[in-house]
Amino acid sequence: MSDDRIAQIVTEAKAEIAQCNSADQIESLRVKYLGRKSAVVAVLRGLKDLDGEQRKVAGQQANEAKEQIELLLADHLQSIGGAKSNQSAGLDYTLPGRRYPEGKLHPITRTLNEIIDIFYGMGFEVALGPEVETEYYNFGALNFPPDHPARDMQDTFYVGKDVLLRTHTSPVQIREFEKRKPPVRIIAPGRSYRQEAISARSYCVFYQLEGFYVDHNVTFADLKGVLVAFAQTYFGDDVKLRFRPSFFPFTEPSAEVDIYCFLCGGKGCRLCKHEGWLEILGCGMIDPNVFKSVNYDPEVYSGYAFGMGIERIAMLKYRIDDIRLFFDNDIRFLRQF
Amino acid sequence: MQISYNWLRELVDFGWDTQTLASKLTLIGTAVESVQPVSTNLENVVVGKILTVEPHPHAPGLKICKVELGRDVQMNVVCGAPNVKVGMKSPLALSGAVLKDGLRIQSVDKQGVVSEGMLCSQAELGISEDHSGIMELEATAKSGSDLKTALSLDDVSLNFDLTPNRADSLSAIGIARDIAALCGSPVKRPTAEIKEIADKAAAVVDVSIEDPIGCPRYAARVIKGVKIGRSPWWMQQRLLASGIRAINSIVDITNYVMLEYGHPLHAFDFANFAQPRVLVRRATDGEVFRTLDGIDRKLNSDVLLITDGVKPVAIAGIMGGEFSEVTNKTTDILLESAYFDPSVIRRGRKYLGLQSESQTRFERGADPNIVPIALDRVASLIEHLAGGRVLAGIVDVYPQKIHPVKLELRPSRVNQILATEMSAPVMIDILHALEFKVIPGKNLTVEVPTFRPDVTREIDVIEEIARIYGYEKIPTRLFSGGKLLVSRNPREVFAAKARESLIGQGYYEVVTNSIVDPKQVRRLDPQQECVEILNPISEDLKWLRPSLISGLLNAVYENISHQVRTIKLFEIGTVMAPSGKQLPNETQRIALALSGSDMGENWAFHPTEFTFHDLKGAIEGIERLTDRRVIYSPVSNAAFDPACCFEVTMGVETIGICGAIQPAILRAFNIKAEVLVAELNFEVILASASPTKSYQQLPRFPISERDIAIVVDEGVFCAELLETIRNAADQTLVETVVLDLYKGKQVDSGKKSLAFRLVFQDESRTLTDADIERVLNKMVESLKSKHGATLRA
Repeated sequence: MSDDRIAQIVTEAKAEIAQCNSADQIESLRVKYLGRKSAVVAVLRGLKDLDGEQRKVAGQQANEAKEQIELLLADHLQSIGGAKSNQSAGLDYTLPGRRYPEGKLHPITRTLNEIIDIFYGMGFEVALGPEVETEYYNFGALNFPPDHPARDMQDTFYVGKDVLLRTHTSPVQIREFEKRKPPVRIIAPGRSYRQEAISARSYCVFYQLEGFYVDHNVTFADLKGVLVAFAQTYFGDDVKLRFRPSFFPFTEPSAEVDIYCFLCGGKGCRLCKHEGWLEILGCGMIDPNVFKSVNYDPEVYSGYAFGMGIERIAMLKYRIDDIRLFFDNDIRFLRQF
Repeated sequence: MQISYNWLRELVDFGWDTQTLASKLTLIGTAVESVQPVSTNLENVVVGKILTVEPHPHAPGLKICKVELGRDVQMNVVCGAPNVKVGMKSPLALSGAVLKDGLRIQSVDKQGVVSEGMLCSQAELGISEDHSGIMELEATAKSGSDLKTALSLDDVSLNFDLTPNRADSLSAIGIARDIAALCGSPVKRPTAEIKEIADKAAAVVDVSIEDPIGCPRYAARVIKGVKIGRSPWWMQQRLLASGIRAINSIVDITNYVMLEYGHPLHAFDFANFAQPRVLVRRATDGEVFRTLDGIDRKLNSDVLLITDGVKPVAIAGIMGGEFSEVTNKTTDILLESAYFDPSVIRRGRKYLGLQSESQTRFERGADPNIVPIALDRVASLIEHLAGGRVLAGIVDVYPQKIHPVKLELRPSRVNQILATEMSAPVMIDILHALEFKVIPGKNLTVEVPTFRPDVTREIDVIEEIARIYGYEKIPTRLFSGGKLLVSRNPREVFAAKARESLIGQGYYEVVTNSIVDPKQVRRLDPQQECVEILNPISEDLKWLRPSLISGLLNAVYENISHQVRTIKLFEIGTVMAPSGKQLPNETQRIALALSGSDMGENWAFHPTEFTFHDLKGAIEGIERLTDRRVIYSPVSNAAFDPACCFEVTMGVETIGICGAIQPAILRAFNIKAEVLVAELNFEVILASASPTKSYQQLPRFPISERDIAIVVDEGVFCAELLETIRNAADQTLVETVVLDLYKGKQVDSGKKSLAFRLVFQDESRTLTDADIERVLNKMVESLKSKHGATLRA
């Protein structure tokens, strides 16, 4: 087929397309000019019988013609107002969308994930330990002497002689220290238990996240640094922190950490019990006696540890006023997160 | 512990208001939990002097009193109190006053006589629980003056929340010492001046200690001819501000000194001693003793007793005995000031379940060397406030002298731990303020006062320095070292993937109690062996969960009861089982529960009741995270409907169970709807987690699809047909989709129709119709011969 012939087809198509005034007419012209039996397609099909140079030229011409006609068809369709899609008949676009309902992570998991991610970014690994523990791991190795009032700070469930439900995730410290040599930088999230009556403020099961770091020359300043960084990342850059002396048998010196109440800005409200500060975690420098129980030399290594209640953090973040909601598993509650 | 603000002001000079003081103390670890006025019910209450008392003409129980409140101001008040008398001064509530119980005072007509105010009891004012009559004020109180001022109740209580290590701060002087360390002024200690009589105490009482471990020191004084009465108001006020009820002068004085010095003392009615001696010994097992609260207590050998050599008179450091208690008739007193071993007190307290102000202080650690000082203080107060002649000398038995601990403090170590640059003199100043003795040198030698039993090591002294220096002055430093790149915990990573899969399918994650109800567990499995809590909070929270199912069923119930229609729940959690070893076996499981109908909450879907295959679909989502396949086989389990109960196997390991819970069991959980449950061993699934897969090249040649529908007997399983199809095909069959299942009019009864979409593809070429027909024919033949299948048109 000659160049002229192809040019002529394009001209004819152009003229005919211009006459159309419906999408159907345009569609039938598409079949006529570009369909399986059209002249252009016939050229393209016949290419395989041509020689090298000839094939190249003919192929290029036919393809150009095809593109040109397609463009003409599309332009004209647009100019006469386009075609109707399948969506148009009696469309009530105000009906709710057809959504496949997704589930939700439990707010405790969600909070844990957020916290773990922050510490992961600061070089902490995750370690886990058993929920049923020996007295040694839960108390003895953590410098709770027998017959010491410190043991009363944590009401304990016992399941056997010297076997108990861990009252914190701190036993993971001992288990990991026994397995590793410093530097050790770990967080240990998990369930813990306190033998307390269930109320809006306390539940017999709770989640704790313990963090600890042991190396040469770890100082109280590093402890403050990591916790300030955590709090700013989790609660926002303008959060204010207060470290005040406290007591935990496994740390010395020990501190309680409060954040400035974000609800009232420190003026005092129901959330902060009119104190202006909210307690978020306990921490301190790991007590030399803890190091001794795992054969770390306290003259060579020092370290810090901290522990926070996940429900407490989630309650503060989402202003939840009853801890039992976490364990009721009411979907109306769970779907809010 | 509660202490009066005015009392602290008397002990040390400082210029801070209560709020400032509270926050400063909190920041050095002496935490103030709250600050509250001693009395809030004293507005518009004044001192009234009763001038006349006349009987009420119409009401026999009432009296009409003329009360003077200041010069020339008088008022008529109707009063029913038994103790009202002329000349007495008493609190008078004026119009506008609000009493403890909320009563607002105004002029009222009392049976024909107008009462312009009200004379009040201590209980009505919220001062104490005494409601025996109107409160009698001291004669020196000025008529018409504000009652708060007259009673020195213009005071504030600081309520402390102290950590158990700080035995030293359980007293007014202890708190004052911390304040002194903050402000630099000294603590002004009370003095004790006693005019002893010539008779010697040692001549009338003998003290011996049988258990010097439990009681390293016992000191006593004897006071004769005491007149028991009320303690002076200033003392009652201090006790009131500290939350302690006034009882009588002697008891009040011992309580007062306990609050002042932190050292508990006990006064005995010496006349009730069978012999003039004190013997400190352990109780014998089964010995019974009536404490001053009137309860007979059975003792054991953990309990330390004070006896008169014949019978016990007190449980050492915990509570006195009823029969040796000081009463209004008491004249001769044996005054005890002793030091008891903290762990002995603790064991006794735990055995008896008995706590007291005294016991708390001994258990946390009293000061053995303050024993005579506190004793003299009490004796001098008794002498001055309750009369009495103090016999000469202290009978002081101190077989095991407790010396102050001496230790070495390296100033460089302080700065190393705290990342500070404190000089040695700064450290010494802090230690001196806390009454530690320091001998300077390259390293400091520190002598720890015996009221600080918690300080035994260098690190403890570092903490003392840190808390007074101020945590806020310690620098904040981020990233001192250590590697920053760590790998994720594989268990957590896989659990996150499993959660993601289930949430994508519309499941809500739940977190249920690991402590479960034995009745519910036994209902699900009567043979279940569980780890049992020895000291449960209640009988229905007693076992550690052996399975997640009971928790899930409770969550299903919770949601049904709130009319939730679509209940899709899962939990990943630890279950415990006895192991025969010290610690039980702990394994993680993943469990699912379905109840109600799916997709019902949207106009565009038709709600469909959940079926077994919904449950299976969720399990398939988990299965796809592993490189192993899951197989289901019928199994019998009493908790499940026998027609819908399947064992789940992964590879060769049984990983769990799934199916419909038996309706009879659901009823025990108050559930009336159908519930489908699966519980799988997460450990096995985790162990089968797919390793990171390498990318598979996308096929270059097109697929060809063929749909076939066959009719087979209803009892033929889909899996069998799929296997036949697979076996009859070659490698060009890349996927088989079960398109449709039909039973009904179009097929004969007892038969079902299944439609499959067969997807063919070759890696190296485009398949021709003839290629596909050949494979398809083989399949159809095979389906016919093996399963009697017929092709549906």
